[in-house]
Amino acid sequence: MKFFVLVKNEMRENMIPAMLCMAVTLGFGTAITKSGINSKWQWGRLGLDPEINISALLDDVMGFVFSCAIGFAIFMAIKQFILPTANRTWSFLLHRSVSKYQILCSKITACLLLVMITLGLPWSYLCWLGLSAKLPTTGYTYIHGCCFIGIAFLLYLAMAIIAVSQARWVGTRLFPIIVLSLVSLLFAGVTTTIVVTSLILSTIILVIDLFTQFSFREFK
Amino acid sequence: MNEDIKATAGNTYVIETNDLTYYYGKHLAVDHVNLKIKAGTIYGFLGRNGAGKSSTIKMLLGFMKPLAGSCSVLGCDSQQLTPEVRQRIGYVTEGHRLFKWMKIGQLEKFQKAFFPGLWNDQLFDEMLAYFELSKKQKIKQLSNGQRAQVSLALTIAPNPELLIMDDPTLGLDVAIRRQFLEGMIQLIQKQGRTILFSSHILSDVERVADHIGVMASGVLRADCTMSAFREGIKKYRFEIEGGIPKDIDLPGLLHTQHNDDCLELVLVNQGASVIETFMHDHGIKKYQEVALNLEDQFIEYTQKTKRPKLFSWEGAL
Repeated sequence: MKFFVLVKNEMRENMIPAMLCMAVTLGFGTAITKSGINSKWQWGRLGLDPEINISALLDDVMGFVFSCAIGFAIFMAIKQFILPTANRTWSFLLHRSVSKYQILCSKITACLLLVMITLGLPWSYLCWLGLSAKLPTTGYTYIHGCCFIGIAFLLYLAMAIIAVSQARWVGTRLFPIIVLSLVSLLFAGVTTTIVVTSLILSTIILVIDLFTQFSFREFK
Repeated sequence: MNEDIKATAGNTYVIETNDLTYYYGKHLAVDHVNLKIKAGTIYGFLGRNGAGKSSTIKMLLGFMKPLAGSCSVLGCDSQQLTPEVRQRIGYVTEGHRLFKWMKIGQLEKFQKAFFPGLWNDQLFDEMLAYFELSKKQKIKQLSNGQRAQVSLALTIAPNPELLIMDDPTLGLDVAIRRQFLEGMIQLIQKQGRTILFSSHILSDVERVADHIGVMASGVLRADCTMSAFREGIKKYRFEIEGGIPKDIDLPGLLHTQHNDDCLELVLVNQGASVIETFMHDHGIKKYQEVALNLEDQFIEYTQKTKRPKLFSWEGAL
């Protein structure tokens, strides 16, 4: 019950920016996809292969969704971990009758839910739109896009660790970004299974690191 | 009764610190503080800026980890405060930092969820009415004073056994401070409450506290009843006829000040016999005791010009 209140509170606080992000992702994503569908016949007339061009178009949509996801991840990390330090609201939040791990968990859960609503839903809709217009949208395309959203969530975790960490050595602080970069490098030219596995593994590593840093963190 | 509550049974100290120490880098912020506060005490925690009051409070609540020593609240180690123990502690944060995006009513619902069965709706509503606040008002639109009032209402509504307030009246004007203190006195009137509040404003402390602790440069230099502190620091003015005595060395001497024919001494916890001996030794015939208010006493006691001999009863009362 208390955990649910915390999650609800976090979600409510970030609902307006999340909805804005969703509207932008959905609006522009739909516009790009529909413009591709409408011009499908034109490529044929110009002697270009519509399949190849439409596939490239979906990459564009995916790229756009990825950009939105990155922006949203950075926003959430700043809002949930940097602003409370600047506004000095940590002590008010931490003096709750729950463990501080539940507080941290509620922040991560809220962000995950918002990412799923704000970016996962529009991406699912855009893929469905592509499928219904008989664009070459495959399960792989969908999973590929979801992995991009997953990368953005990793960025959120990495930024949260940097914000929470009290490490003085720059290398220690940047450890999460190093993990993230390695995962991103893996992304190029490997199978979906490897990408998904590496995403899951790095999420686990970063979550463990975040919890560890949070337990050592002092709220002065 | 849960295990945590049982753990405090028979423990007369609600707050206890043992050689509590903290450094900010190389700066010693809290220096081996031994603080013991009994149940039912209204404890005024005094000190100048940077004296170590807030750091001590944050260590008590487990937000900071002591580099040496330990502290406990309601019988539970501060570093391992369980949710059940936290529920029994009300905490007013320094500067009344609340969620600015919320309305008072939303904040009430949020806070209430963490005190199931303890939250007093009537008390909260009464306090809002007393402070002339509406639940529809947004926190970000409130003045500092109004935020302080909301903060106090939120903290008091669950009837906490222990109330810890970190400089609650900082930045408030005289009228709001008075209202805030009256709200606090309302709480004090309920039996069995223990309150620890830090402050710079001596008149506030004098009005409500029965015990005081004085922090200076990280050291708890006095920990006693208000009356003991009031009676302990005295200023004497001597009329000198044959020149100012040099190298005055008296027990409990805090400060000396003089002009051509007048010498002032501030002494800590010394009886008439010390004065009489001093006068006899230096051929002084006339003296008078200068009235000091709590603010004067505090300044005399904490200013750095000369380190005094400490209270003989320091840390003991």
